[in-house]
Amino acid sequence: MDAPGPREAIALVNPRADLLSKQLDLASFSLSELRFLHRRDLDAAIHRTVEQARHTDSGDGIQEQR
Amino acid sequence: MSGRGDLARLRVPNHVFDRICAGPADDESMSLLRRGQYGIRLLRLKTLIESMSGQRFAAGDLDEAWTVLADAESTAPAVVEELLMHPAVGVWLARTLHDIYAEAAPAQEEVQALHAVAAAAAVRCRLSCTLSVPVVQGAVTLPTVGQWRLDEQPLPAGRVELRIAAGDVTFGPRASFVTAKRHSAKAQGQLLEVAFDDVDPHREFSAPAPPNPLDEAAFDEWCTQLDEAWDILTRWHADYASELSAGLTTLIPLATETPVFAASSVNAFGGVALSPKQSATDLAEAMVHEIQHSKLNALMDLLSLHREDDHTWFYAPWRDDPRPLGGILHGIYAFTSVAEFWDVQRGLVPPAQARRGHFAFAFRCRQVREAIDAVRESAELTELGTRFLAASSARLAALDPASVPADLADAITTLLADHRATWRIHHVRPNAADVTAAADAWTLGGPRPAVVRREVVPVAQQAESSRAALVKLRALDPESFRRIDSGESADVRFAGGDLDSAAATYERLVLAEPLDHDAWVGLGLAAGSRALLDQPETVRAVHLQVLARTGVAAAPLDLAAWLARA
Repeated sequence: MDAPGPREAIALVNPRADLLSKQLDLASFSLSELRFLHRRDLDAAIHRTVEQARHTDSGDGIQEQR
Repeated sequence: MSGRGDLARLRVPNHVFDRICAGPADDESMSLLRRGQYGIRLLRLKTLIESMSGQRFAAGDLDEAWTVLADAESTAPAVVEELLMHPAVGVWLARTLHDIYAEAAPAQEEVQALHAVAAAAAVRCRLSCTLSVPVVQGAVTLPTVGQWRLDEQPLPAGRVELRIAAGDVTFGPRASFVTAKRHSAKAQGQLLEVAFDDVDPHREFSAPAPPNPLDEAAFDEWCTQLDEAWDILTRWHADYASELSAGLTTLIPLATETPVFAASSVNAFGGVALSPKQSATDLAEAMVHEIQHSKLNALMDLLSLHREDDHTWFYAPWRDDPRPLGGILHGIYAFTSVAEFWDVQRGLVPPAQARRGHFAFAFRCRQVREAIDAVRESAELTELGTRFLAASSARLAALDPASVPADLADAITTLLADHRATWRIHHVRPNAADVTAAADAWTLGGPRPAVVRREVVPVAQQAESSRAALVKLRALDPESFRRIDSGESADVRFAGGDLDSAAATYERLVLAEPLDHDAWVGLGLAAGSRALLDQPETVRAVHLQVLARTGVAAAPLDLAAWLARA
């Protein structure tokens, strides 16, 4: 299953349960495991990362106080 | 490793979400946010190496670096995690992926910087290997380790071979080495350990920067002020000190002349860039402020607080430019913490600075309240976003911005009205057909349009007006204000309280130069014309059209009042 988009994530809100995040829990993998890890949802996450990189400008996501 | 099952997604316990919304985060919350950020760092590394397969940069070359990193991780996983989470590594990674996919022309040394990261891991984990690392801006940088400044360009150009034996580096070319700076501050039993990154080309967030290492005296000054700030934070703002201890990893000193007070980046969790501060209190405030952005960036990477496919522009009382909803939420969250900081701090500063403390507290409170009221009904908010906003609103309700001297409260009221009207007259565009209909009605006596439609069109805008600076000066430093030569300036008259005279001068300015934004807003303020301050962009547009059509200028305040009755 692919990670949810923003609208799907909204539907997952349940005050009694954990909130299911948009991110795969990759911190549980070692670098050795991750290098050759291939799953459909990981491929989808890589694809989203590529799209994000393609459409993000270098100044995006910076908070500045002047 | 391959398989058919799905990978787990990171879960955010409800109480952790609520804890983060409520302000300073505890260790559990900070750990979860950091875990999310580390997962994204790993995903981007994986994306980078997968992207290089079949490209002109040999994937096998990057595999070599990955293997060194993996070996280091098996030796000391916490060290490798800390290295990959170093803010400059996050900025490099995001920038490189952007350059690969948006620019299609990443510099080879940019991609090969993975070797420098691997070399840093090898040094810190005392491994042995040989890696060819890139030379960037005349230097070889190993993140969190240090930097070699080369005396001359190496051959072949752009790369230097590092031989690392049990962590010791043999560096071929003639070069001077600058060790990565670190400092530990301890007060009230609480420890803050931070790196000072003054050399990494990716340390600043918007563009690569040449190294600018602090000399010994400058570094000592930073450390002394940080010690003092840490004492303030641990003594009086213990919860904020705890989250800084858990989350702040790196300070990036900016040049004294930079216009930036402080900055943070979605790609640099735990990193704060800041220019030198005049006092430890200013530094403490900047640290509290910026760590909120780091936390919220990390939270927004996990959960959607607003719909990301809508792009409405909003007014932010703390910014001159229109902001998307995400930016508004960032400001609300950060300035709520700043207001909480000043609520305590205003009672602690020396008497000479007390008015500044009161001002900072009440100003931030009222800015945040205005912003919350402006976005609370936005359809772009998700359910979680509404919950997030309600938490900020509740925190704000616990503060009392009226508990400041009355003249300061009045000055803040004026500054807020000035800023909002100035923002409108720059960025809000009334509908041309509605403006024409209004001009028709004014000149020919026809029916006024019931509503003038408008849209926000961001344009370049000058910084704070001289009027606002004068109002602030009078509020905070009346003696200095009295020494100003008043002359004929409408701004000085206004700030000095001579409203009738100021209004008359502003009106003359408007009639002489109807494109003078400052004069329109000044007239609205001095005349106390709500009708003008609420829609200066529309009054000005109709005024211009009437003038062009008839050659006769409409009386600005009469026109504003007439439009307001529509």
